[in-house]
Amino acid sequence: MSSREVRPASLRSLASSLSALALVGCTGLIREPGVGPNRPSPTGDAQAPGDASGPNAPCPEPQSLHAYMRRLSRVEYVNSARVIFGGSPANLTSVLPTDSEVNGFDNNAESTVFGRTRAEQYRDAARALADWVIDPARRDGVVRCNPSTDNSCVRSYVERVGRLAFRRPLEAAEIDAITAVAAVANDDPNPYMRVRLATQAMLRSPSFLFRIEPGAAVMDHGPMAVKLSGYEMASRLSFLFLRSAPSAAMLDLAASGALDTADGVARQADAMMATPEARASMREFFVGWLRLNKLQNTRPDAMRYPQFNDGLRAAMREETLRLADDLAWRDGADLRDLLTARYTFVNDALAPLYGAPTTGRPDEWRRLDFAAGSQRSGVLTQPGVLAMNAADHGVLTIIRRGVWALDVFMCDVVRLPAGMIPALPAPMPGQSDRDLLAYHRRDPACAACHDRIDPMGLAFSGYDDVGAPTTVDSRGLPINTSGAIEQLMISPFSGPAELATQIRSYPSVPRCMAKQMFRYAFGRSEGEGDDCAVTAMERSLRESNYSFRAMVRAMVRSDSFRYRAPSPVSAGGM
Amino acid sequence: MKSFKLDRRTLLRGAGIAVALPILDAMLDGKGLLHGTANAQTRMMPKRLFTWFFPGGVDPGDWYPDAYGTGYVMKPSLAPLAGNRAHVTVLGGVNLNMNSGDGDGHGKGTGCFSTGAPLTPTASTGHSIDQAARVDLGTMGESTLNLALEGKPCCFTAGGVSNVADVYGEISWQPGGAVVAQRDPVMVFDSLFGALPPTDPAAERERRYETTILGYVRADITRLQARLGASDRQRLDAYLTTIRELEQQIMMMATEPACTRPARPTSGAMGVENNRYSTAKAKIMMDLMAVAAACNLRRFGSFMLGNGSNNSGCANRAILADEIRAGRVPGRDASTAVELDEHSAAHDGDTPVRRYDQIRLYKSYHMALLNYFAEKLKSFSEGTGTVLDNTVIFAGSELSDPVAHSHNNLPIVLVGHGGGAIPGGRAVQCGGVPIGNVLLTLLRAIGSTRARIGNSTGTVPAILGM
Repeated sequence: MSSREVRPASLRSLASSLSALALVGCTGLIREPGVGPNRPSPTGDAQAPGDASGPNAPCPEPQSLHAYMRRLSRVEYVNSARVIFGGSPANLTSVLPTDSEVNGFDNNAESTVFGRTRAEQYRDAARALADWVIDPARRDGVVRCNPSTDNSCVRSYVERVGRLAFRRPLEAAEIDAITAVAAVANDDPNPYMRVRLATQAMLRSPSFLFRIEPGAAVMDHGPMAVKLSGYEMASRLSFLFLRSAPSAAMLDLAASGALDTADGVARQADAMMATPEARASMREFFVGWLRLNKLQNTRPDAMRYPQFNDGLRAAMREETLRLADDLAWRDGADLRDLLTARYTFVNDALAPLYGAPTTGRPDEWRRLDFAAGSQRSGVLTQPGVLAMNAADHGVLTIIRRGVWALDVFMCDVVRLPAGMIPALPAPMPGQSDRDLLAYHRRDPACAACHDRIDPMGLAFSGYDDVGAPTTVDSRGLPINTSGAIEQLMISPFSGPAELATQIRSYPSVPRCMAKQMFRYAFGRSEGEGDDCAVTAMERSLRESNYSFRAMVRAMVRSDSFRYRAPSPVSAGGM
Repeated sequence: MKSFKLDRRTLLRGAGIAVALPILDAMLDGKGLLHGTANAQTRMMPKRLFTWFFPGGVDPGDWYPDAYGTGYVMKPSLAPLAGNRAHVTVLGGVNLNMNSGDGDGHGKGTGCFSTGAPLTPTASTGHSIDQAARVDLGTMGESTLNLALEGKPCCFTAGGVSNVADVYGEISWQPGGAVVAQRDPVMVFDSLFGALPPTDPAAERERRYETTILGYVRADITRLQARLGASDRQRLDAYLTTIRELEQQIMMMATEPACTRPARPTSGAMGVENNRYSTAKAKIMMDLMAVAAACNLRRFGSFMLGNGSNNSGCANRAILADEIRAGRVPGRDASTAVELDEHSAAHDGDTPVRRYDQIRLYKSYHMALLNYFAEKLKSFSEGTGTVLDNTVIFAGSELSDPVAHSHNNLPIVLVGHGGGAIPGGRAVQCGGVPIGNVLLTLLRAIGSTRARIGNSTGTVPAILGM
């Protein structure tokens, strides 16, 4: 065992992963041999440093790099349209299909088959965009030639726009096929009808709608890995950092060979991460990771929380994202401060929740440092997170907050069991929420999960449904936020700040961060073949004092990002 | 009911391919016989199947009859269907039987109740009954009509766990993915009837252009597929299938008779924006589904009244209170106190008695809407009966007792006769069979010969009156 990191030796023997435990659910019925469901491994599935296969080991030749062919998400479609045509009709978003959310992220490649509805929505979107392109007010600028006087106009339009739409130069046969579609409108009174049809055809081609990655014909990394082409790298980088098809300049860069090496890719990633556009776009990662879309469904009791409105809802989201921005991009920032930052960012809508003064300038955001002794700690106690996990029932709020923290930071996903859930008894007078939850701990089936959910959630019970401090629970009884989580070997803590400090240094947290990033970037859950990439990302976090940029850099250098399985292997991928 | 006549050859010429299109009522004369032929109408009538999902389970004591058979006494939660008793079959003793696979109480209930097949973390592993019907009985390019009223639940489940929205928000499945429901009535209308009237010369030109584009896309997909691995090929196959469906739709449109083409819905009539629920929107969607069925534009499909694990839409106390106040929920009047949203009633009510009391109110409302759909289908005559006679509505929920989040003894109601195979007018105790047995029974009732679906171990002959 490496001395680089100190871990209790007893933990090493607990080999079961947290994800395996999640399958046990809350029934507590399934027991791994020798491992009780009450004792999950706090190491997650990370291998211990120093092991031959651990984070310090060089990556072997890849064995299975699944590369799902991804469909453009709604945002990616709209952003790509702007790159291709320099703009898009205002209603384009509403025409396009919505995306399913998996693991909190809405760009997942595995989730949904291509149904009839989608095909119709893509038909309508292509038509809307094509109509926008040939609108007399802007067609000269977008089409850049006049089809009524210039016989080669449609063809040159297809060549130029097709390269942006398909994210690679078109083959001659492709140009022929698209111009042939346009020719059907040769007798149409409107000469721009041919441009419209060519545009519709390109936007409905699988080469636009799907991120098809056949790879370059290069196998320099073992028989199980095909290197992706420079154009495919340009696409991967652009979709990762800008959620968009690559610009003409990016495609030029790909053509120059600058994206053919890991160093070249990392250099370009660094350049992109320095841009405000990439930083704004990367907020979507934090939205998915922290499940911030739950705020959209948050509706605290209007009688008790009259101050809650859409303005406060938006401010809550913005607050969390401002802290994320700060920790992702500020030089020297430690990503784990998401758990323990002793400051936040507020506007006038949020300030009262912190007991801070308002300025009378509603749009002004400012940093707010917490007073000594404050229990506030990172995103864990931010009003948005507290509010979105609140339910109109005290006990359920506690459970949701605990489940959220386990899921987001430890990748410990606790699901509702499928069977019967015994109801908690009706509360007796004088019984607090904490007393009620104690029933969970008596039934081993419940305790299997609630032994860690409930103390985690109770630590945050000092905040009400909109995240303001409170001293009483939903029964009007005094709050006690102290606890300990034996199941996770978390020592006694007096409140959220001390708990957060322990989660910050919890062994499975860095790997969980890496996994969350991986899922966002690849649009799928990590598979066995991606272990090397996730491990490299985890290692880069540890070695860079938890720099977000270092983690992303490690990811784009990884095999998972730059290679894919050869086609016959992907046959078993689904 | 408008009547119209249509030459069968018109349809086939339009389709351009000799497929066994369903026989439209217009091709039958007044006796239900094909023009110029003597085929018995029972052989010619299209049989239809629609899944109708209502969220939140039921109060078992207020739902299941005390005794089964033709003389059963309908419990109050089902009272809104009393007027259609002769067409209704109430099932008891049907279990989800889904111990394997992914999903929590609501996700599993929603994602499995019409498939009987386990879930992966992101999708189903089987066909839902409407898709199975399409596969078994559909013609080439035939598509299903899958409707829902609300957006999918975003990352909120009872436990606060972010999970896969599809298994909470979709009920129609092919192995590997959801058949995503349409949620905008205007778009539903346009995809059924086309945005432009079929005789417009501009529409004729647009159809030619669209046909050309579809041909290009089809060829482009095929060309690309030759270079891809099997799993990517499969994904493009799914796209290819939809392209063929759109081609088929255009051909149908070119020959679609005036039929009972309804007015195009407006967002004003729904009173809500897209992806939000209103009772008016629910009814507009069911109107469209009924017309699509009556015109034989769609024979199979699914309708989702709301998402499981929800407190919005049809599970929202304000919406329910409005309906009760307006006198549209049989058996409930203004004195009824609506205090909790439905999912909260299952989790958060103070005492067990009060929880069920609230859940019963929601069931009255949901069953009133199911009855609305049945009435709508009944309003279209077909042959010597109505469209409802040749349709079976498979209505059910993701839970039985929501307070316990139980999947045993699921509340299932069949409405309609599926072309005559299902006698109706009875309550059937199925004796603890897996849900797949009911699915298989219904598929067989409308003509499928498949051996099994999902977790089926056999059929339930009593549903067919045997």
